[in-house]
Formats: sequence, structure tokens, C-alpha cells
Amino acid sequence: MQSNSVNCANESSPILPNRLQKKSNVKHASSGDLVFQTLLKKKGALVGIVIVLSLILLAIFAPLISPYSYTALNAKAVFAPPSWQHLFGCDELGRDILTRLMYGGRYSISIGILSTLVSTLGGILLGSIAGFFGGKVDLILMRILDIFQALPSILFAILIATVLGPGFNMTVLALGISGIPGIVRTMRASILSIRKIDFVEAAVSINCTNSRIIWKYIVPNAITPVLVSISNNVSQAVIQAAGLSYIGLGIQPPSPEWGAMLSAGRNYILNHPHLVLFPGLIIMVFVLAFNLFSDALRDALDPKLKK
Amino acid sequence: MIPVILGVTILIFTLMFFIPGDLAGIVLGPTATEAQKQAYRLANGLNDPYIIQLGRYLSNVFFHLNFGTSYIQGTSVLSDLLERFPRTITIAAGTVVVGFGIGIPIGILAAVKQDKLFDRIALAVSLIGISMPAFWLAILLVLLFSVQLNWLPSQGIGGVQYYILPCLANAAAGIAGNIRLTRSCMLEVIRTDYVTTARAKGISETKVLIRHALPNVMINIVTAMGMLFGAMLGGTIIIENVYSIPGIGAYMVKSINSRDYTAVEGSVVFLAIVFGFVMLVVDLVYAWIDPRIKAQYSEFRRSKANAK
Repeated sequence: MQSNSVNCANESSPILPNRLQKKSNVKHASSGDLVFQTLLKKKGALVGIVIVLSLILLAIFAPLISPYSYTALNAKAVFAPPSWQHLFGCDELGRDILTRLMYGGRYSISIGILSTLVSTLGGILLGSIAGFFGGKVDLILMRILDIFQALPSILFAILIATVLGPGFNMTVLALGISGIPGIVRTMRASILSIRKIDFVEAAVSINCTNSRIIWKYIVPNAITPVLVSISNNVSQAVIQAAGLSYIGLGIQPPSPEWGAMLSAGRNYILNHPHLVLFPGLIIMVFVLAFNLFSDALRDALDPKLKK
Repeated sequence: MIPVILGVTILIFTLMFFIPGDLAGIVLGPTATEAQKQAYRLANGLNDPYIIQLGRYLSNVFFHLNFGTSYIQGTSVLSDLLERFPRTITIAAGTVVVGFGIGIPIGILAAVKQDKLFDRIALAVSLIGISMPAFWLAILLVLLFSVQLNWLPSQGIGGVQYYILPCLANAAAGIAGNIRLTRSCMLEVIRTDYVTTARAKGISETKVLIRHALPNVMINIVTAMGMLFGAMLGGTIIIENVYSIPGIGAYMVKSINSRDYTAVEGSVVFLAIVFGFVMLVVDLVYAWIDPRIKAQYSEFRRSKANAK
């Protein structure tokens, strides 16, 4: 078996991509560059990327940018309204909200990205197994998935978060697991559409191992439609993480996570609305920017919209 | 549907089974002696193997409609849930009505006026709508309508006016999602040949839209309806906490925080069953709207009969 797969790598891989380009249309082959170019031409995508990147940079370089510490208490500035000194005001302990939001990006953005990574890995693995093998394996996996999807995803995330307990790693895991079923479905559907194309059969006929066919030939060619759901998943995860923090699961208040800040500030909304206004606003801006990017990505990948 | 609900119940029980911590310790408090804890475990069958506990839970839930007793309150979980259910379902149903009632017409109009000002505004608003955390919008609505304008109550339950803000806040994402979905489906449909044919016959544009285009768009919308309902039911859990509405969501969150796990388990199973029923209804509506599905089923049955 081992020698077979080595042969397969040496002799046939130069052939397979050529066949692939001839047989499948533009959507599958050489799509990477094309999609990227279309993407850069879209204003929405560009705006989205710029906002997301700048929020990430703010989070990374927060200590250099902000003159304040995100933990230091300041009795003089308790509930200070927005001013030139504290652009977004201060919270109930006199901590600068803008600084905390910058540090909070470290939690919120990485929860969004890491949990999507978990969903993506799990989703691609299970989806490609179901799509490639078909038959009984597919049937069993899909029935199990039906069970997982019989719970609304936020309810599922709440349940897992309850079992795992609060904290950063646990939140990532809870949101990651609850995002798997959606990606499995997209992945499977995408694989089913390329499963019958000749290059897969060619790989089978030269005796490639199943895992090699899946990882070398099927996943790279089926991944493009899944990119959109992966990208959507990030923004959903950020919103859901905030929701989890709000009801007391997820990240706990002393940490400057955006949702946790929002939930800590809700007791003071009557007199000091800036405590909840700005954390919510930053969540919205991040998610909006990411959605702009996802929309542009979807349009770039959708062959129907190409003219 | 029944196997799915059974499966969900098993899944939930299995997940809850792995919660770390000693149940007897939680219930009896820190002062309990080891012998008392042991007696509690024996009395409640907590020392039994997983599979026996699972079987007992399933038979309790499905044969005796018994979701157990809350550790903290000592009340029956089912009666707690049934008492709160009308409020939760009111919000969920209101959300669905608002979400589809506002979202679909705007989506159609946006598609008809593609690239005009209305379309651009609708798209921008819907993009913002899906990007907002619902509970944040809920807080903002309270600030505007309850604190500033003093039109609507900010929390609690009572008459219809108490449900307006929760439904609106919960529906925002649904409205936005519906606008986007309806618009993109509509754009696809109004470019098809049968719509061109209908126009060529000289039918008025409104009639073309309502009689020829809309039914085909509805098929896609109903497909999305199930998922949206799930999202709205899930959203209700968080929204109830913002508005202090004593529904199942608030009950569940309170139970999670007091580590009342039978109540948590009961709430999730209960919501899963409700969701299962809704999905069943959606499937039925789907078959009723789309004649092709019915045809497919009868064909499927025929081919099965032939195979035998």
C-alpha cells in the first residue's frame, strides 16, 4: 500500500491537475487566483478586510497604543462619560473602556477564529468521509447529524458550555463543536457534486489510498463553497460567544471580552448607557466587517453571478 | 421525527452525565456527611451504570411524561416548564410572524427594484441587522422606547405591550435574514423563462410577481423557515433574560447558574421536542406548498413497491 501511494504521488499528480482543469469548469480549477482577484475588486470586501485587520492589529498592539492599563482601577474616573481623555468613557471601576475593548479583541476575535477552526477541521473530516464513502457510512453520519441539528445551535452551545464549564478554552470548544454540523453538510454537498468527476476515478483506478484521494484530490477541489460557510461561522461565533457571556456562561466578567463587558455593564444602563453601548458597537462593527467580506466571497464564488 | 427526538434526548442525557462534580454534594450541601451522600446516591440510583440511568430517564420522559424534580426548588420540572411555556412560545411565534411579515415583502420589493435606492438601503439595513447581537439591540430598544420615550414597559410580563419589544429585538436578525434570502431567491426566479413567458402573455407585473414568481420563492423560504425558527427559539432563551420574562429560557439560565441539572436537562429536552414538532409542521407545509414533493413521494413509494 505504501509503495502504491508513493507511485501515485510521483507519476500521476502532474497529470491529475491538468485533467481536472479540462473536465471541471472554472469554479473548481484555478479558482484560487480568480476568486482572490474578483474579491479585491469589490469595495465591500476591501472595507471588510481593512476593518477586521485593523481590529486585530489594535488587539495585538493594545499595550503600545493605549496609555491605560486594562486592569488598573481609578476611583476618580468611575463612570466617567466619554471625553478626550477617555474616548469611550470609563466603567464602574474607573477602567478605560476603549483600552478594555482593544484587549477584549484578543479574547473575542480569537474565540471566533479558533472555534471556527475546530468546526472547520471537524466539519471537513466528517463531511468528506460522508461524501466520499457514501452508502451506509453516509447514511449513519447524516442520521447522527440530524440528531445534532435537532437542537438550535445556540441551545447546543449553551448545553456544551454548561457541561464543560466557563473559561476561554471551554467556550472555544463549545462554539466549535456546535458549528460542526453546518460545515459537514456544506462539505458533503460540495463533495457529492465533484465525486463523479473523472479525476477522482483516475485516482481510484491507480490505487491511491482513500485518505490520499480525500486529502489530495477531493478536499482541495470541494473546499471553495465551504469557504463561505467557514467565513460566516466566524461572525456567528463572535455573536454567540457574546450571548454565552451575557447569560453567565463563556468568558467571565473580569476578563475584558466584549460580551462579558456588555453583560457586566447592563446593571448600569439607566444612568451610564456608554457601558453597554460601546462593547455592543464594537461587536457589531467586527461582525459587520466580516459579513461584508463573506458576502463578497460568496459573490466571487457564485458562478451564477458572474457575467 | 420520533427517532430524532429519542436521539436528542439520549444525546442531552449523555452530555449532562459527564458534568463534573458530585450531585449528592450539590443537593445536600457542604455539611452533609459521606454516609448521607451515599444514602442519597443509593436512593436516587446515582450509583447505577450509565445505561440503566439512561433507560430510566428515557422511560420516565416518554412513558410517564416525568422530567424529574428540581433539586433546588423541589418542584416537578414538567409543571415548571408547562407554566412557562406559553410565554416562550408567544415570543417565538411573535418573532416568526414579525420576521416573515416584514422580511418577505421588503425582500421582494428590494429584488424588484434591484440596484435602486430602496434596494441599497434594504441591503445595508439587513447587513447591519444580521451583524447585531440580539440582546444588545434589546437593551438599546429598552433605552429608546422605555427610558427615553416611556411608551413600552421595559421588563416583566402582562398584556400584549410587554411582548412587543422582545419580539422586535428577537426578530431583527430574522427580518434581516429574510430580506436577504427573499431578495436573492426572487432575483433568481424573475430571470427564469416561465416569468418571461408570463410577461410575454401580457399579464400585469403585480400578477406575474404574485402568481408566478412568489410561489417558487416560497419554496426556498419555507426551507429556511425551519432553521430560522430554531435560531429564534434559541434567541428567545437570551432575550427572555434581558426582559426578565419568566419563560423557559430564563428558567434554564437560572437553573444553569444554580447548578440545578435536572431542570436544565428537562428544559433542553422539552425545547428539543418543541423544535422537532415545528420541523415536522415545516415539512408538511413544504409538501403542501410544493406539488413536486408530493409527486416525488408517490413515485418513491411506487418504485419501492416495484422493487419488492
